[in-house]
Amino acid sequence: MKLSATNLTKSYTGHPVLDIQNASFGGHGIEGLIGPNGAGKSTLLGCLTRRIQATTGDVRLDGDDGVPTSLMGYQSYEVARMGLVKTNQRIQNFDSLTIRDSLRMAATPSDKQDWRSVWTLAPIDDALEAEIATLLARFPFSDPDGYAMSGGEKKLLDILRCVIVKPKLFLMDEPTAGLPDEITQDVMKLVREKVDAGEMTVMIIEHDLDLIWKNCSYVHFLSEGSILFEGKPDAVKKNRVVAEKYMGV
Amino acid sequence: MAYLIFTLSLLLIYVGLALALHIQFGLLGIANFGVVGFWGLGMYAMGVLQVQLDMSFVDALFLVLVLSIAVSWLMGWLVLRLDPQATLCATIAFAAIVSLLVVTEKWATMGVVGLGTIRYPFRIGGGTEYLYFAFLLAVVVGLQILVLRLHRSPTGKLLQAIRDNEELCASLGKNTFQVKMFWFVIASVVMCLLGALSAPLNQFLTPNMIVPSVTFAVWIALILGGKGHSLGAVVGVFVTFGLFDILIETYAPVSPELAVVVPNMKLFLYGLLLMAVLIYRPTGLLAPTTPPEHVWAEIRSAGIAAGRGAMTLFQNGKNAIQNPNTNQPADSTAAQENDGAADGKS
Amino acid sequence: MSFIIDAIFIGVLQASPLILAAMGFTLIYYLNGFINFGYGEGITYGAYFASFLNLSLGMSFYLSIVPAAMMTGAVSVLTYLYVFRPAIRRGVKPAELIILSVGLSFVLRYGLILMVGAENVFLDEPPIAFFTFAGTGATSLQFIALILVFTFAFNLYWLIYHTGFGEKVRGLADNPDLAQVSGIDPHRVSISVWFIAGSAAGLAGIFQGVFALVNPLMGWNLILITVMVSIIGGVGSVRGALIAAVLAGILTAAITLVTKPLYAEVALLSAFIFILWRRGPRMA
Repeated sequence: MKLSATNLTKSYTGHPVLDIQNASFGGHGIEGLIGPNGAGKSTLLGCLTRRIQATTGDVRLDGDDGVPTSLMGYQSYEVARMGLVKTNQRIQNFDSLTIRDSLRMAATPSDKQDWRSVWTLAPIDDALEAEIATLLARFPFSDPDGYAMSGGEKKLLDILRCVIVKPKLFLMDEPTAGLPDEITQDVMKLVREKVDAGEMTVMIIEHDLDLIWKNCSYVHFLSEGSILFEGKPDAVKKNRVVAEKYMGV
Repeated sequence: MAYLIFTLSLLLIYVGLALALHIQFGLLGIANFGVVGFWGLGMYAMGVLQVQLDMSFVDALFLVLVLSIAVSWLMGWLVLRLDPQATLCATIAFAAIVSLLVVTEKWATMGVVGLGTIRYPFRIGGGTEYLYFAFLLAVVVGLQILVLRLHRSPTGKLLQAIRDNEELCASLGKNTFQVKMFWFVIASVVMCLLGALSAPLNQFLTPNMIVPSVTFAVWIALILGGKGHSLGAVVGVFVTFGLFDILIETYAPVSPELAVVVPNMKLFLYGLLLMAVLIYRPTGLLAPTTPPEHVWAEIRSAGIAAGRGAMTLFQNGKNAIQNPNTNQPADSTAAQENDGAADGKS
Repeated sequence: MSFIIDAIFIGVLQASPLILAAMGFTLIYYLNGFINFGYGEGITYGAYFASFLNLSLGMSFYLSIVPAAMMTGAVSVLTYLYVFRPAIRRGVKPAELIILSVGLSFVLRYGLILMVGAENVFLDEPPIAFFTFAGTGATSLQFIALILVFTFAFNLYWLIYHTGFGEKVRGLADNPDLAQVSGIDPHRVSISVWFIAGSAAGLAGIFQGVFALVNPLMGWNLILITVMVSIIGGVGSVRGALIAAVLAGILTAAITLVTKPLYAEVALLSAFIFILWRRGPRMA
């Protein structure tokens, strides 16, 4: 799934923080979005997922039929249903749901979750239960039928919750922050499998550049609210602007 | 006996209101402080339709249903996007508007003169009250079953998720506003209908029935019983209303002078209880994870603890009166040290 | 034209208790970030302290004003020290603090009823002279109340916006951690604020009591409109609370002149819900 932004700007009390002329995301398997702190990465993601109302501009989604739809008329939950799902940089959790319930809640489609479901108690979908079981077998939670306790567990759960809703374009906001190295590796392996199977495309926002160079086939460099450079990792690595503004000094 | 059956019926109404509030606040986190507004609206609508327009019970109930859906939907639309504090203020304001309109719209409600008499939907000699009690019992049991199922069903998990973190829930593709609206309307309509059902119980309606202490009694029951536990509402009403309005007001040998004091004493103690629970045991008697088989043990141990606490307070008070200087300084320095430590941490 | 003058004149005169109550309320809301329904009982207690000094001890009404207000301030500080501070320390969230404050308000109100009964009390009013101004009448008492209210309001305004103390309060409300690092003693500032706010409530109660009558429900009857006015005025804006209270008074007077006073309340409450809805998730 591809997303294109044109003339997308956001300013807070007259102070511009984002100004994207023309950019498209999600066309290259796994992409990276890098840039110094305060470059506007989180604002960009917020505007793409409609969590933040952009000041001007348009975000269009190229559907499977090739017809672009503007996202500007939709709310954030509708955008998520279209397949644009984002993990959270800061820890977000449903504290009163167990790990298994949390995954179940996220993945159950809304027509099986409305008032009629009051009369259905058992797990409603065997395929879904099997999927949850595989995920939970693959990742080490101390007790999958208990609550996510540590920050690491909550962060991992946040990522898995997004994976299980089957995004088409999966935005990962700093997946390494708060996760142990080997778990990050496992998460990236899972994501790569899904990408290779053609189920989704990914964009990763990261400060850990090793992870970007290792996984991404295309990288956007965002600084001072605009995309200053984009291309293959090697080209980005060698680019003078990127070196100056981000890696060099 | 007739008085007891009336009080027990009223107890059922309170259980119903607490269950509806449990859906709104316990499951969804919507702080509806206008419980008495919805309840009073239903009760007065029933009264006006029956007395002024001479409608039958069933017709009136149907119209109350329609009216309450409209009003609840409008209120939901107005308050559900707000910050929790604002929701609370707006619903209090709603209840105040209802109670003011009952006084001003004399042409319908008869104002402070009072509106009556509202008939039972059926009349079978001396058994009417008992049959009506059984009917209310069936309604409340139905509500409790709904709440029990809700806690374990997929939709209940969604409600809890919305209460925990609405924005996260929306980012996973859930239409949180629609879900909140649906259940807010359901619960508010239940409150209105319970009001309509209490009209025949009260028979004669006056504006001073629509007072904030009704809302308050329902809230204290829910908070005390445990806002996150499916049985919290019932347990809370039995511990508050059951204890005061039934055991003490009906059975305790109270002299007439004291009898005047009891209702005020009750609200005073309700307030005290609510404060103690919120500060010292925010989950209430039943924590959300209390398994059903431990409910009784939990209530018993809390009762013993409360008794011990009261005894200690009483003893301390007596000691303080007898020898005012002994433990005062030691206590206050200890408290100051504690304060200092907490200041440093925060 | 005379209708407008009447409305403004009566509105401002009658709003004086509301102005005081709203300014005090908004201070606590600003500093601690929650709506304190227990604040309404300060209004009641102020009136009862005044009635105690006035009727039981035989003090003149004017002499009883200051001590009664200070006694109310002390009650307010006690509620902070023994109820709200422990609760905040234990991590009770704002929405639950409001519920807590409703509990406190029931304890204070029904505690008072248990002690002194629920009968109406009439303050022993000083001799009253009647003035006419621009075609509208007012009593000397109302004029004095108005002068006192505006003196108090002006001093409070000065205190918050033009003194070191006000700077501390604003610092503490905006960023508690930073304020503490820069050497502000949060404990002391909080106690002062709760004292000032409580005194304002007490004064409001004294004037409300002398204009009409004193009974245990007067605070609860006034608190909702106080909350409304403070929220509409903007969180922590003493200025906003002042303006909103005056406007609410004028509006009430205007509606009361054409129809029943209760409709004025209904209109105000509906307007309040509507304003909250317009603001959306942002509270003020």
